[in-house]
Amino acid sequence: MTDSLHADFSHLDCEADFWSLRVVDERAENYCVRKNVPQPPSMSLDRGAMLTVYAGGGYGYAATSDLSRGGLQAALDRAAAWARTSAPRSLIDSRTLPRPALRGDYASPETNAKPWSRREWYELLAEESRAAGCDSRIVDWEASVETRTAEHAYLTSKGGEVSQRFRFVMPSLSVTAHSNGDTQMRTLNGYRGLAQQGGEAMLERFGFVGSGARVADEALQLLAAPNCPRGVMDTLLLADQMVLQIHESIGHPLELDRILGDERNFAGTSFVTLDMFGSYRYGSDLLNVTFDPTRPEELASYAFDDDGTRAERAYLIRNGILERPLGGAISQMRAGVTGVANARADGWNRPPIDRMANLNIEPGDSTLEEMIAGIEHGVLMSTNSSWSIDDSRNKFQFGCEWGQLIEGGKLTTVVKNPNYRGISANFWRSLKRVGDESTLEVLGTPYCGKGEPSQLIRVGHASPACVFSAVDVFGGDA
Amino acid sequence: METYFNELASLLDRSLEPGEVYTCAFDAEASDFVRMNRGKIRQPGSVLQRYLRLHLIRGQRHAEQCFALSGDLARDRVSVASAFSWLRDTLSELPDDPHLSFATNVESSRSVKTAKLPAAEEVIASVLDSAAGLDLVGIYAAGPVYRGFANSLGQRNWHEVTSFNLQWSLYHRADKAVKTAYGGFDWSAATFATKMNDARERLALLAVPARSLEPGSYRAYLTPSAMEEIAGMLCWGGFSGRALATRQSCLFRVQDGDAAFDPSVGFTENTVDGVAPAFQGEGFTRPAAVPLVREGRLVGSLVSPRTAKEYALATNGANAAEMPESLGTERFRCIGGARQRTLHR
Repeated sequence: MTDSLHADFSHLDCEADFWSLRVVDERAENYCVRKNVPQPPSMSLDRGAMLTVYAGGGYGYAATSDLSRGGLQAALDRAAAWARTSAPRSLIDSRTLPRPALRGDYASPETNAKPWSRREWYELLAEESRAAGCDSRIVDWEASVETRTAEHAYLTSKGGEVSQRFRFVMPSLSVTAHSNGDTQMRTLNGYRGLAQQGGEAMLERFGFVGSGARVADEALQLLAAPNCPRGVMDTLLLADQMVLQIHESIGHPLELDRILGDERNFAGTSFVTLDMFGSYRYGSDLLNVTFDPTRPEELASYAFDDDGTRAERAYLIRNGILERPLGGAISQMRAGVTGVANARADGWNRPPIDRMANLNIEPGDSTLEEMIAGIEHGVLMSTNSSWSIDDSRNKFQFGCEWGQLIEGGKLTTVVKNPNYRGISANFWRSLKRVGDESTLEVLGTPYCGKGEPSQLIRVGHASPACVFSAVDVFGGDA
Repeated sequence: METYFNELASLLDRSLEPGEVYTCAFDAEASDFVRMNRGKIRQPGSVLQRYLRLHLIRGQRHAEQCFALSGDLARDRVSVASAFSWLRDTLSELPDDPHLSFATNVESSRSVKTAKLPAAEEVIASVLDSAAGLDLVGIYAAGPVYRGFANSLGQRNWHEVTSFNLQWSLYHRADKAVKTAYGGFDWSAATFATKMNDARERLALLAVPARSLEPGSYRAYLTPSAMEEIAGMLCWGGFSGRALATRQSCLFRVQDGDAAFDPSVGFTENTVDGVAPAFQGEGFTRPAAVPLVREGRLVGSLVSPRTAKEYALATNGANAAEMPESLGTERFRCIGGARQRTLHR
């Protein structure tokens, strides 16, 4: 892609303060076996470019799937026209924005390794499907995978040149059981909850082989289980629910564009305000949160964001104190605070906005056994099944697929429909124990939604299991 | 764009080998998107995109590939050839699919609803002028959307609509705001002014000191926009024929007769009054309306061709996800926005 791109870029003509070209070339393949029937495979090839222009203090973009020189020039002209006409009414004076000129590249692990064949994928998925459909009460089940490769190129009129290559594997398995008017779904870490960069080695890390029988057994256990009891109790959240907890009540509220109000018409605002950075106690002393684009296997690792800023690991919350937001170069300039390199677009046809990337909780020193043993009366919850949180990402109510009571320091009865509610501003202060490396899982989601027009983007979350004290817990009959 | 699509379909016809059938869905748009915040322009831009979803069938085997197009047929024929090559290679490895279903009755159609909208720059100028002194945040989306279907049996469907959708919030402070939408096919300065004035009046109400309600039962009025949120949740599998058959729909108890809405509740998939095309990705046509809930009881569901085959039901032209695209209430009002945008992922 690079040689022809350079040639075309060098021939583009624009009278502006700055312009850039971002090309995205993605290839995805999807395989699924549902109820032992191989579903028809699909492939998508998505390729296009976005031209961005700063001119006269204004800003504009234009995206096109026509990658000919003429197509790119037409898009550049349109972006320049937007920049000029928007200048008198622009929220941001683009003359004050950074002009990215960095050069560099990035590649996911195993980018050059030979991928599995269709046949290999279908054989694995068919085997897990066969194992999952083991009982007449199981009414639906499927095993699937999406594999994806992506090449991102970013060139600027100031000499910036970034090339990044990604490879992703995202398997999924779900089982639905139904009996006596009750339906219970159990999944392997949620829908597409297993999503990492790199190759098929991740299947072994997550025990995908053999998961069909295991997940089906758990779905049947849930059918027979009582509802989660109501009460205030210590709650142990495993990593695959911590993902959602981090995402909704740390990630979104710390997005700087939300704090600056850009998202108020759609995604919402934030209970966090600019004056909180540097002093606000977000959580207990045990809470350490990092923006970490350097963990190779994590879903949103990269070397540069989509505005050409070099990405580096940084603490957002250290020992419970809020240090910096999730804000890219433009938002940082607007707000006058230091952020991170997280200006990201979900494709060539959407402009970068402040997104989560890899947002992680640093591990503590408790084993899972120690955390369970330390709870006299509580509940373990795993795998998100529902979520609801207010516009400012403060009051929330989350539900999980799997619950298990903890009584006298031991795991006891499995319970269905476990839910809990809280307030972000208080919840993290009740963080009582943080699991060690042995409880940590590197997870994420490919479907974080935000922005107008809407964007769905990949985000990674690595987290240990955590214990929260005095949580308001309830079940499905509440 | 229609000419390009017809030429593309002819290319597909010529690319077929004996024993093969293709269907294809074309999806394109030329849109302006302008984000606003604090009464100013935050992010203005334009998107020109074309995609083709090509579905190749041989016997009971089939696969599909979706790819971006440049709009220049001379260059796009390379992508088409590459897609056929991948699809043929893939079909050779697949077993028969017992749930394969595609339209075999040729029902061609053409629907073109063009409009001459003012330039987006002019609309934004008038919006921001009218919001002077107000904390306005929102988005304006406008332009033509194109959908096409073709198959090797000779069916051709074309749907083209030019529309706009302005959604904006006026903020009083913190999270207190009034949200308003204005969408349609012909921009009317008078209609917009009326809506903006109404928004200003509602905004003034937010300045009245808030009263906290004690928990309990109240008679509540839900605005149409609040109802849209509730109805939107039902769209996530609630009316899906497959989700109902597998007991995953939140309405399966309503289907069984063990629960019901209030008799005043009714929902209809109201294609005829919406902006969604009257055909779906496999080429099946959609009825003008599909009653879903009548007098509080579930009377229908959205059944895709694949679900119809699997569960021995009759398809009603639902999309593969079996989600409503023009959900209306009992009085057949469209709840959804007047403009649709599709993410290709």
